Amino acid sequence: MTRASEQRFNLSRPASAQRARHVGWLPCVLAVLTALLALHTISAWLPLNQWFSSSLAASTGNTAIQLKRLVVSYALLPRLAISLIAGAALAYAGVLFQQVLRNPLAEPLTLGVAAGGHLALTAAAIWMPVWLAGFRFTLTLCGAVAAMLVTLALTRKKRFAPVAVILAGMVVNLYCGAVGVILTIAYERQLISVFIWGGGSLSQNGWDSFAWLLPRVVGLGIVSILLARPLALLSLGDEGAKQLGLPLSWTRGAALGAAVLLSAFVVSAVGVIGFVGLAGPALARLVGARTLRMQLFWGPVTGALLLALADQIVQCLPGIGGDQLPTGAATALLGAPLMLFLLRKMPMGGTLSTTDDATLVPRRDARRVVTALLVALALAVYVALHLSQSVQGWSWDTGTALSELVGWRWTRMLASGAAGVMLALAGVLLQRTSGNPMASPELLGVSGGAMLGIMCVAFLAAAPTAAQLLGGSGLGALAALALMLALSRKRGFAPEYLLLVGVSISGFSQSVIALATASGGAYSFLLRSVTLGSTYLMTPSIALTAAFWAVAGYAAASLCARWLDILPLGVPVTDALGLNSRRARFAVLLLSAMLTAGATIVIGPLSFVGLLAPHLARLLGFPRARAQMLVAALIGALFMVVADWFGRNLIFPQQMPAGILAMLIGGPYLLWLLRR
Amino acid sequence: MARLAACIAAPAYLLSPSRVAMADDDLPASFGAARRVVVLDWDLTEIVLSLGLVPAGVARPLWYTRLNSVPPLPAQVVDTGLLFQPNFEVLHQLRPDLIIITAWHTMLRPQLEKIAPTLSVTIFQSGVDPLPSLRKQTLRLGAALGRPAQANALLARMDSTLAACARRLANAPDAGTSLFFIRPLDGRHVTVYGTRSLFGGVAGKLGLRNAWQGGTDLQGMAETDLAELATVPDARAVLNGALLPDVASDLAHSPLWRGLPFVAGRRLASTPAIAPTGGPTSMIRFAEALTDALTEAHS
Repeated sequence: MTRASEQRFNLSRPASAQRARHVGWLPCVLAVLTALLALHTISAWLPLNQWFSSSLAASTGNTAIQLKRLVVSYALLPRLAISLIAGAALAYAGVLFQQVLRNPLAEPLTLGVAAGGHLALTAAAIWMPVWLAGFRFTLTLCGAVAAMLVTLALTRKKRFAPVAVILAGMVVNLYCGAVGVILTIAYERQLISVFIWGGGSLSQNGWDSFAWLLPRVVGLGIVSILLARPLALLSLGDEGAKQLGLPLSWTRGAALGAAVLLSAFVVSAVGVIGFVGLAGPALARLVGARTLRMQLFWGPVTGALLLALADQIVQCLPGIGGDQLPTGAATALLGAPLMLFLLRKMPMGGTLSTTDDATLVPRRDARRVVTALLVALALAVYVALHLSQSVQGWSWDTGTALSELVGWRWTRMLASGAAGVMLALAGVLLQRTSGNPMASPELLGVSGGAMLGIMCVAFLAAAPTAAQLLGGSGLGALAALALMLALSRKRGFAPEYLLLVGVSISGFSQSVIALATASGGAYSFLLRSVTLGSTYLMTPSIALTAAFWAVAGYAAASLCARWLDILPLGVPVTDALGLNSRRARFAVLLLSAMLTAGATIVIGPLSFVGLLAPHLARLLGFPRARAQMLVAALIGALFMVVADWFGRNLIFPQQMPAGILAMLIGGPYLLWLLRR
Repeated sequence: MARLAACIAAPAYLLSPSRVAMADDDLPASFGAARRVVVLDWDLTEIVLSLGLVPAGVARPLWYTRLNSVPPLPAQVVDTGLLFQPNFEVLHQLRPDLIIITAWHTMLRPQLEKIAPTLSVTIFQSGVDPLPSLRKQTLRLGAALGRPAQANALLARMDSTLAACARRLANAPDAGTSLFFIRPLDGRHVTVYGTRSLFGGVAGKLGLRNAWQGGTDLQGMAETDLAELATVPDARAVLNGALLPDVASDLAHSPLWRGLPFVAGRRLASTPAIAPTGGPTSMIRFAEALTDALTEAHS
């Protein structure tokens, strides 16, 4: 994997010399378009013939023209200027990230850096609103650095392999999102300004932000130019660079630090702006910027013009319901197709071996562990049915009190447990076929599709019913599944490729939701709560259906057990053993996607169960597929039953979606697990 | 393949054939004696309290206290959990004889019906003027709770307040100039209340002209930036609620804000924070505070 992407960055220099003089055409086109649109926007406020006579008008005291001059010079021009500088900074950060991590998909959003900064600001807006005025940047930087460190810590064992970094970054992204959701559920009415900021609005009220951002970005840019030479040598690979006497860790650290600082500057000045850091460098490379030096120049230029152009287009579009579209979320919408396009060109290795750490764990007797898990599950179910908070405080319900309340409790519990089983199985299937320990159903894009389906239903039906929401979620999940399979057909359903496609779809759905809920308008509160999972909507029939799906899924997955033991050995071995790897992968992926869809409908798009349960099963000593599936399924069920109980009782009477609670509980443990 | 077919068929089966209509449901006679009421909306809570009935439970009482606040919510009212995810066990234990919801709670309705008869009251509907809609829904609530006289009295109080305020404003100078009704969200964005908002409706009854001509959402509001407020050179502006300290300092540093005609010309008034989607009580408070602010500014 790593070797393959090195080749990409090392593309032959003679070719670049030939094409060097053509690199500028794309920025030129973008600049002309941006200038035309900017002229259009400005002349809509102040007709061209009044531009230069405006000083005259000021002296004659024509207030209408004075007012228009004010808007042009303190709203439109600073907005254009800040879009340019922010776009350049993001693209610069993108080039640095991509060079250091040797990963063409790295950028502030995919690494979780932007999400970390956003979460820190959301938390501050709730508990320490006074800090927002004075320490806005410090807060953002702390969040961004923490997120970056977590992403890197998660992938240290994989030696920062590109795909592993992106998947870990998305996990950090989702985790920050889940924590943010908990906060917004409880406090949303005071967070409207945070939502606007999360959508990345470039509106300006003067030159202050620009004056703050410009020297910092330029300063960092100059500092990083000093790094250009050592960074370029990094492309030789660690061994080659070491032989040239390059202090590797220092160079990497400095470049990463500069990139994180740049992202944090932009995030704290204008908000979360997606995918410019990806698009700027990618387009520059596409039109011929091969060397790092060229990328360090043309990447930011392209990024600046891209963001400026996107912002001018957004200004020309009519808003929805009187609200203006946030630019950041709009660029993120364009990002997903771009990412899919880049993936088409990205070299992809075969499956990686996954069994290295599992062999170290002593194998255990499955019967004893399964018995212990079954007892624990039964105990958890028993306690969760009886023990609960009520208006009068904690109570252990028995007799008639229980028989009245049990109807509310068992449906949620059964549905959550079934979802836990489904996610755990999907996780085992994905991790075994892809050989990637970070592969999880949440990243499969099916969850993102389900969220989009729910959104569509909530928009189309003015007042959605439970059945419509569940139906929308199911159809969305299926649409995403079909899209992913169609896109990865040419690649023989290579799991790594599929996961990256899934990440793009997840990112796309996140930005659609950010776009739809950026305003504090009437719908956004409802939308935010319906897209987060719907354990509370469970009726007995749906819960029983979910349980049936889980059992059927388990039976189907057991039939694949032999394939799952063989597939991690790689394509040549698989084919030599008489198994059509392409067909086997298709079947396994289809099954895992259907399991994910079922679980998403029940507990919503977020939870770490599909990531955690398979890991735990392996650590307990079950490297073989059949035993791992059984143990993981039991762990998944146990985990979700417990999470559902916490969701009902933790901040009683407020209820949390079980999936998000599972994520909160499981996240730190997952970090610890992957750190080793 | 069979599994795939089942997978496709199952969600389609779950889709109910009838699309939800926003139409008001009929009032069964049994509501007449409703005493223990749970309200899952803050603005409807305000109306219920204004009719002289204290609900048994309300979603997140904290937000009622922060957003509506008048009439005050007694402390014994039980918290039923989040607005769109009520705690069914708490609702069950409260044993209400009526649950009042809005159309946006439709997805919860089957479960709520298991606990108690449920009444959907929606003030903001597309294509309906909010102020007449507020009157109609207040009367519906009065009928459902067996308090039609109180509902009529509340609306009569609103009418007489609006008429009195209109008379006071008719004599004020600059009565003809248009007004922005705004609430700054941060240093760069404001919420504007348009003509189709409740505030806009009240202002219309007071004979005031709304300066906002742009589009608005279902509740008659829009979120916009400062530049859009520079379109009307002679407009005045009324702020809903005092500025937060960080927003105030941000705006004070902005040349654009300081240059806006109503800031530069000191034609900026403010009312206390009043719920823009509230019931008749909020509208009475708004009309009085607005009239005070506009007459004081010129006296």
